[in-house]
Amino acid sequence: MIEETFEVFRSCGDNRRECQLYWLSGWDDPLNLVAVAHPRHTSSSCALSIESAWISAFWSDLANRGLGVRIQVHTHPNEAFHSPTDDAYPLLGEVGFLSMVIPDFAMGPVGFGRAYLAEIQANGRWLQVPINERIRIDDD
Amino acid sequence: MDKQEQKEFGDDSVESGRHDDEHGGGRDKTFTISVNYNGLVKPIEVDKDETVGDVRNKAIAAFGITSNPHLLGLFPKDGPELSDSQTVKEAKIKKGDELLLRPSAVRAG
Repeated sequence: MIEETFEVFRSCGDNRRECQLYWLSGWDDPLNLVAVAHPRHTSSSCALSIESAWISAFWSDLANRGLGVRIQVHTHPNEAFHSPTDDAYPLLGEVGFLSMVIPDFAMGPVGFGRAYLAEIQANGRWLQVPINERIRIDDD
Repeated sequence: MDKQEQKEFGDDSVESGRHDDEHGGGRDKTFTISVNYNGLVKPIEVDKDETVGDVRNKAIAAFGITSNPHLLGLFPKDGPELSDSQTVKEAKIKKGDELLLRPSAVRAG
């Protein structure tokens, strides 16, 4: 999934546009991420917007497959952080939802060395959290 | 073709001639729809005279959403967001319909 994420970011973003993906898991095993979804979107070097009709079709597809979104992941041109736009327009706004930002349009090393992870708190606001305390990467 | 078949094929002619209970009117003032949030689908009981905003609030409560509810709107499976101020009847929400509880807009930057 991580390699797939970087491949999509690099091919879609082409080192000049932001891109966003969603990491999915089954409702019967929510903690085990199993798939990546790449939304239809428009984007520039500093902004992106997901197509509304795609979100509706995606919701139905998730129900048909027994899956749900756990984490949104998107790229930034330089440093990774959560911008005011990232704060205001996430795919989900519920407590515990995670949002990861990958720097340099994901053109750097595959991994999360300089990535930024934010989580929605009980007060509805985003807070940066340690990646290794929220996401465990298994070899298989 | 019976009424159910016409409804499934989206025949608008049924809209004007349908019985009240198909959209919660008459003897069935309340009826059940389903709402999909992030791939989970739950039944929600609605009243034809309540607003879409009321239904949205019921759905938000049913899914246990306690933060940022203002981000969410109700959408038909194929179409634009329903207006909070419309009644269930005005929005043509019918018994058995599935609505989507989803963000009105998703952006990043």
